[in-house]
Amino acid sequence: MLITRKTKVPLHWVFYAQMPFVMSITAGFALGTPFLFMMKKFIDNPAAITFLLSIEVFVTTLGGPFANWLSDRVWTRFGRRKVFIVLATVPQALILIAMPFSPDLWTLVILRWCYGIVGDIGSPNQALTMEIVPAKQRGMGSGFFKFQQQLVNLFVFGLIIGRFDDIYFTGPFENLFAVSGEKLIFFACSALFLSVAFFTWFGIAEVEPPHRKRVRDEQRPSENLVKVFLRGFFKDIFHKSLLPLYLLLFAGTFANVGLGLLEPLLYTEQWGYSLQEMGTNIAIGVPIAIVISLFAGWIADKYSKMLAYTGAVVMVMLCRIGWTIFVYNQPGFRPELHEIILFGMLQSTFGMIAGAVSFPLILEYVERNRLGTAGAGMGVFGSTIRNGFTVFVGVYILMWSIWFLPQAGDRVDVVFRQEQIEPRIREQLSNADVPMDNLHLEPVHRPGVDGDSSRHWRIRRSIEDAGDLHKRLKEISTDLSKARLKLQRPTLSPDNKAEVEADIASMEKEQTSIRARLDASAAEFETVLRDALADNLAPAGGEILSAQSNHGGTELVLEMEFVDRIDADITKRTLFEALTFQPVVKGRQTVVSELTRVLETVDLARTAVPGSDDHRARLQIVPVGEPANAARFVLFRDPDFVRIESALIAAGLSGSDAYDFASSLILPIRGFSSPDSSSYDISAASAALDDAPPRLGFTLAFTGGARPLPADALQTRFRSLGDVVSARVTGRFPVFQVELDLVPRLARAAARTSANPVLDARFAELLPTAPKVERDALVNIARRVTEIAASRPVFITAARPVVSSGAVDRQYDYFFSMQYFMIATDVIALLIIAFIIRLEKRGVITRAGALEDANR
Amino acid sequence: MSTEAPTPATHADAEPVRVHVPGNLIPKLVYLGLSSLVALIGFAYLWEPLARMIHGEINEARVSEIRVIEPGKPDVVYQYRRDYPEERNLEISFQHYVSIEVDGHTEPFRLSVDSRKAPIRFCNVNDRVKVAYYPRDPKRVAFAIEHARTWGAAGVICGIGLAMLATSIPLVLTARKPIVIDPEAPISSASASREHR
Repeated sequence: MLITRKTKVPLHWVFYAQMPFVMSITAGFALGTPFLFMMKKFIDNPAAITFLLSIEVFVTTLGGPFANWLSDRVWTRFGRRKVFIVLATVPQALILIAMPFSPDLWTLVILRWCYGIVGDIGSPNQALTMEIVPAKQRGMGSGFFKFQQQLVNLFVFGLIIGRFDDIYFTGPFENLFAVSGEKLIFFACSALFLSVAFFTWFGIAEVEPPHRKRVRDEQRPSENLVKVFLRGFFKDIFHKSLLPLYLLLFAGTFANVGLGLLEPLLYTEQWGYSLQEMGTNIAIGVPIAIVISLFAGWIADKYSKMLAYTGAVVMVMLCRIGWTIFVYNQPGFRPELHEIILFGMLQSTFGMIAGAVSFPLILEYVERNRLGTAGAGMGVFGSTIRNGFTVFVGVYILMWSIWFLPQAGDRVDVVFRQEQIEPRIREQLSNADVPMDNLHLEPVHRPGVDGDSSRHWRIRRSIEDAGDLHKRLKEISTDLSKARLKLQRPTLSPDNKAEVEADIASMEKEQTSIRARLDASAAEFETVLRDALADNLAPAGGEILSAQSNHGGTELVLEMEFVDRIDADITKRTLFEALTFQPVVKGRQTVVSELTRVLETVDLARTAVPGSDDHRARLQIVPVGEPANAARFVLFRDPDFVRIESALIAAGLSGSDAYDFASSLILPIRGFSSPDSSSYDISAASAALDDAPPRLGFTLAFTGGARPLPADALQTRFRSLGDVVSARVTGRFPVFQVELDLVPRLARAAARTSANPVLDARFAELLPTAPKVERDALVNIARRVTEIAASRPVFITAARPVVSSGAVDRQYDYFFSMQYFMIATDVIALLIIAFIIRLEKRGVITRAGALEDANR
Repeated sequence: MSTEAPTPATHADAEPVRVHVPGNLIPKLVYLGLSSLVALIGFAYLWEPLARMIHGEINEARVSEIRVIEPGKPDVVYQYRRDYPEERNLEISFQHYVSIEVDGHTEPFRLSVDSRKAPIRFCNVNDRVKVAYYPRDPKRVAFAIEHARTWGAAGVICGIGLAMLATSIPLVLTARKPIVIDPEAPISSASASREHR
């Protein structure tokens, strides 16, 4: 289909010639973000990640260059360069299939190294592409390359990148196995490599160059191939005619320094976005990038490539400076997704122009017969200099963390009675003789809010060996997964099984011990802070301002205090509205409106919404106070739910267990009738949790629009509930008698202890005459409201003295550290370009590649 | 089989024109067959949500529960909204259920994609999701049609299948069609000695 050494080729040839290279790069995507997250199953430290990945590149520094050098000098009946490509891509495909099954870090890393080693053999792929496309059309070729790359980016970032943690249980294989996103990505990339092998072998024919170099021309008597290579290689790749190549490569490397493999961690760990949001963010910029790439390719062929390249690098640097300043001024240093897209599009536009122009620019300085050697030189350069930067980036981020950010240790979130600033808190802690050297304090706000003062503060204490303990926990977690997988093997002998079980027990013991140690340290730190800040912290139980329980606990009124304003506007513009600077079209969202939406719990009574099939929970939330830092929750609970819950609490079950069981029971009942609470009635509920097994009985009557159903149907449905051992349903529609035997976990003796003594005491103080059943229900509800209010998208904190405490690992910064570094390297890149222009003006370097094609 | 065959010169002094004729039709047809198979598997994944969008029903449904499944332990069911810290144990998976009204009563339907490490971000309890489903589906599976993950497996496999077809079809179409090989430029003795250095 394609052949080499044409003086002019049809446009579709220029397009198809890029495909094997683009498909290889696409297949190599698996070794980017997906591989990073695969490694993070076993290890967290960014310096260790980049170091382990770079070892292979340093070891195989000469592999790719050797392949390129040799590809200039050999000839077989199948051609020269494509033999190398096929010999590389088939093993690469097989390695990708094996990777998701790696049981531990070292197996994964070794597979990665093997992938890199065989990948080096396939290095002549770019040289092959350039042999198909003549020099005058390489600008367009580069444009097509970028175009295909951007199409791939759209696909990869818009759809694939967020799939890593998905599990697909439907589809043509649903009766055989579930497909994990991780395996899907790697198998798909493997299929691409096999396609590259096939297309290259059967689709490209190489025409033998008439005056090509031969190994024997350079070989001395009884000198082997490796010696010829080493002797000739360094002489060739360091030939003075390739000086402009290396200068441009240096400029390009400095201009393209970035987080690289670690970039997804900026989105997920620092900014809190999901992988899919990151992928969508990148994919949205792709359509513009596609247009730019073709335009850039046309520019590269039409005008001065050096001018276009220099201008693009300058603009990229200015964009980086602007972006850094912008993010610095955002609340929590966290840009919105649409802001990332806008700035990213601007920067990538100029980056694309630079990228489209750079490779044809480099090739203008290189003759065709030296393309392999040039590729070899680029390979050595990539292995050493570029890879060196990759390693350096990981180390740099680690050092930045050690110098400027909190290290592993304890973290406690506290709430004060009043707004505080850091110096005041430090003064209080210092007065209480709390060591200050290793403390880090930061105010906590809702997303989108910023400020130096707050009621809610995060206090971290760094501890020297805590990082090692976290690392050990991760190692144990990996080893446990491996051991548990091993235990499931049908071929495991009883002796080996006993050994594996003993290993698991030992690791679980060590894991428990380390966690206990970390938890004890955090608990001790919490106690220190409570004692030091006692008078200034919000009072325990003080987040409950008032409470009422009416109509036998079916109408509950709860007033709670929060750190953040309840009437805050949290309207999110859609991405389209944000990118086109449109005002919000749909209704505004406040904390109250979102809290009302997300607080729909199962226990609330439901009524039909007029004119629709929907049912809404009966719930009111009203802001209280000025400023509105409190809310009154009026909850109208389903009386049938309350009867079940009350029966269980009265029998000795804790409020949360009673709530959970009543929730699981009420849903299928609603399923048989309707969500409207008036369509069914539960009465005579009683529980006997001292019996063996524990029991619950009640009368169930369907009223209104329920379809007639036999007792068997109810019995089968109740029997399927996880906490029900057996069920007996007697009677006829619409009235049934239900008897349920429950799991031992729900027995009175086992389920006694209150989970929240502080709230117990507070509600006892507020409602001294209310039945304990109702107070227990209120404790449970208050706890649930607190949890729900703290979750996405509301993010408000109930005003209690300690919000959370626990052990934490070291903190990393992926943004500012790298932005400063990248701006500095951009400046260096521009200085190198200026130097190249000066050398060309003085005649020290010439554009040999462009001259060669002009003379044919 | 490919050949480089000189074609007869038009007059005595002209250099014969060389051509390359692409061969290997059988392997190319096998590749085309494999490409079609991959594309077909992708289409089978794609058809599941698509068929429900065309022949089933589409409605907005409320996420009613999240089940945390850990092998060897009882399932934990959450029917209220909460945040989930990232799970290190990858054997733990999260299933998401929505409540759908069927014939006047509510049935739980399972969303078509589970997740590990944490539940799907916009599928927490009380979030609303646009789903396509068959009301009488015995498996009770619903597809969140506005979520990329619903289309993920189909997209990946179809994408690979299309890339394979994009390369295999031209290979078959251009088989046995000759391509002219351009003549080489005459080479001077100076450049010849440079080449052999």
